Amino acid sequence: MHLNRLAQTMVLKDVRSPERLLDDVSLFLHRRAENLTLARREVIEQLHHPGALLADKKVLIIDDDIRNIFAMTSLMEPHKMKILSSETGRGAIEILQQTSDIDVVLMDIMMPDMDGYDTMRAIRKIAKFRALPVIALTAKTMKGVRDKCIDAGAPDYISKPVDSEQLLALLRVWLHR
Amino acid sequence: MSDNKVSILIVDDRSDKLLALEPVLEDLGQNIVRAYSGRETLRHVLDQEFAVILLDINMPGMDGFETATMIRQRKSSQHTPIIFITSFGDEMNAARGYSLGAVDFILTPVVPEVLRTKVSVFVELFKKTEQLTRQAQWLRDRAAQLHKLTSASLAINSALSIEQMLQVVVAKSREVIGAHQASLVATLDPGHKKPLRTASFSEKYPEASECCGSLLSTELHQKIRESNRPMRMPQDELQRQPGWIEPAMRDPRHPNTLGWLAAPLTGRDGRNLGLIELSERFDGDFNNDDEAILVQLAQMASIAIENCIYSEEREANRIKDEFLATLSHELRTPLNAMLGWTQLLRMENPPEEVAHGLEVIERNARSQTKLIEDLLDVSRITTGKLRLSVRPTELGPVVQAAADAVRPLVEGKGIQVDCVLDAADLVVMADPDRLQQVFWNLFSNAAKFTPANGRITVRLVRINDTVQLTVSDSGAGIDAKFLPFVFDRFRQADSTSTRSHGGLGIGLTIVRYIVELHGGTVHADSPGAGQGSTFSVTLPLSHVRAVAPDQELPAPVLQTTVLQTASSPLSVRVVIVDDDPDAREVLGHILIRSGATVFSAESPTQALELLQHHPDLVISDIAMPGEDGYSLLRRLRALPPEHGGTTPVIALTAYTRPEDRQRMAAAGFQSHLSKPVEPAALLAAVAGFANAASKDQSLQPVG
Repeated sequence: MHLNRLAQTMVLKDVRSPERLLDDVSLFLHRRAENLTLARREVIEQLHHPGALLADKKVLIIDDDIRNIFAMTSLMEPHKMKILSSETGRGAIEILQQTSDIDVVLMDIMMPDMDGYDTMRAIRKIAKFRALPVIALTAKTMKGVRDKCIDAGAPDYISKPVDSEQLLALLRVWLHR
Repeated sequence: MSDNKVSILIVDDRSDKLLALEPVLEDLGQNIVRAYSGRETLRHVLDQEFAVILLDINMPGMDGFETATMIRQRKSSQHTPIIFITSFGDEMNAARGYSLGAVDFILTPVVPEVLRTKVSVFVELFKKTEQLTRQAQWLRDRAAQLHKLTSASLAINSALSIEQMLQVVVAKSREVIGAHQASLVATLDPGHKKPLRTASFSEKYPEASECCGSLLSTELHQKIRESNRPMRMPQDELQRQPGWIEPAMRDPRHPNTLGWLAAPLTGRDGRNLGLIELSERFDGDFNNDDEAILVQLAQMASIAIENCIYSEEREANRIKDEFLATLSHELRTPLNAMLGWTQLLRMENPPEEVAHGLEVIERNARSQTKLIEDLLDVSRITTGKLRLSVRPTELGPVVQAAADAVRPLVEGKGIQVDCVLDAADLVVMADPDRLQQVFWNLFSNAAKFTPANGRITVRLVRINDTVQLTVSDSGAGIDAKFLPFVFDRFRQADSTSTRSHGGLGIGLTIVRYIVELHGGTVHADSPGAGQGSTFSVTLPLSHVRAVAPDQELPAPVLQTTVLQTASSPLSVRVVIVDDDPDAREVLGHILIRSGATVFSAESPTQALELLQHHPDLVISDIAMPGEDGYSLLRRLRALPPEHGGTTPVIALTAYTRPEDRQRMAAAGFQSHLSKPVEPAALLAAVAGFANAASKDQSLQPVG
């Protein structure tokens, strides 16, 4: 029964790439793994996610809520990632201009003043950031978000509240490329 | 020190409360950071680390508990002490606060003393923890460096050439200490070779690795090489050094220095071999630990450099020795045939004119042999390989043998020789062969430089605990200017004199060296050119008394041979093996004349076939093309006795080094003779085996 429901979920999801598929499978495995003891979970985590992929990668988090920034920072720091953050779109562009080696951007969509779409469009206008991976952070139930994100220049997105495993898996996918 | 200040975060939505807290905490002398909300608190916590956080519980929006919860979820702030500030008597809040990991509560209004004491405890704790963390980090770094040092040492030791080894050293020094630039200069052989240079740069300078320049001017290098001590200095100090070259003046491909650390390469004897230098540490300035590590790496490199040099030298020496052995072999082989034939022909009672000619040929062939031996001796002397086999030696017979050897020359010129051998029975610890060589050299020198009908006086006298041999002549004498150099190698008084007297000018060098090896001294004296000269040899006396009369003295090396036709013909069958037809022929003639039956073979295979004639003896050359004398011996010994497997084999070879003789003995040759062979020695050896053979035969039943 349980499996059946999960299978349906999988099928319903828009599988856009083999990585994404692989990732979802690993996510599924991880959900199950959460029930295991801490030590075993660590073994499995190491098995599935060699830390090297995330280590020393620079992430820029853009969110108007410092609590989200803090939570995501807390999540990524143990993976030895370097984290920069901004609570506004304008601040983010400033940071991007000053920091040459940012590997990936996590972008909140719903922000006052300059929202995520505007910020993304502004980023894409800058030649050297045309190929910069941007992952959008969206509210769960918003319809048509995916298309809007793609239009604005974010190739992938993740729903809020952020699932920590899913976020890390997404980061691996985008940092692997 | 401002560096040691830690930060305290105080959080309250009401600025009046913050203003009340601040003066109390200021006395602690630390940084105080204020926040007016939970969100602002998170911002600060993301930004820096705090020794302690004083957190108001009641704040609008995000209260103290929510803030604390988030702080606790982040790994790096998980253990930051949080002290909640709350109003009196709120037990419910206290319980919840502790469950969120609060370390303490402070009630408002605060009592300054209590607050200060509590906070100061956490400040101290934080400082201690920081110190421990730093120490742990330092230890980890050291362990990692030690590990790298070990791997560097392995890499240094496994380098195949000195150039490769130096590259490894410079690259590993840079990696282990963590710097962008490194360079090494090594002078292996001052005055002879160009110094070797190599450099290593991090990926920051992809272009620089092409130019292997030193990082600095030669003046600082000179300082290090003279003092043999490491040096280090930050960039500003470096730029104040005399001889500092502005970057603009240098090779544009070369990166600019940023701080400097250098250590000398020092040999075992304290001689400077060069230096390693580093610049532009990954972070900060070079420190004490870096210096200690570089000194250690420099030490490893120095040892490796010396090992390389010595192994190269050893190899060069070995090649030279091999060459000399071959050269000596090649020079002796033709002499063998010449001497053999002259002796054979002289036995035929030729007409007087021919006899004289043969004598001249023989004398010259002998002096050629002598020259070759002298040259080999000089080579042994220069490589320190001349060995003495020392035993108690009575001087009289040695002097006599040497005198006998020069008698033909002396008599030919009508020179009168006076021998005063007062100390003839005295004993010295000496190698009699080498000593005879010394005396022979002095005598023949005297004879050479004394005109016809001159006079030579030989004296052997005891002076205290030494014995002195003096050879005085009435000859050409020695110019006072040349006297100090008379024992130097290849020095002769002048070229015209050289022309008229011949020789290489190495005899006296050999004399001095051999005498000194015996613990003695040599001295030359002359009142001047044309007034004769005196050479004296002084040797320490041995405490061993005279040799027992029946003890066998070594046979004199040089025999004046007048070959007698053997009184009783040798009834012996001999197989001779030599690839050189001349050698075979002369050897065969000598043996046949003495009554032996001779079978000649030009190769070991042929020799083995000749065993069907049941020879009593095989005389074999050692060096032959294709298959040598050792191989012949092995194949022969592998045969059963009835097929000749036990036939004695004598080696006849121009390889005469002590190690060659050892090898021949070890291989199982019954005896060995050196080329050019003396017919007397050859016949003596053959006669020995002939006797043994006839005895054996008399014991064995016929058939």
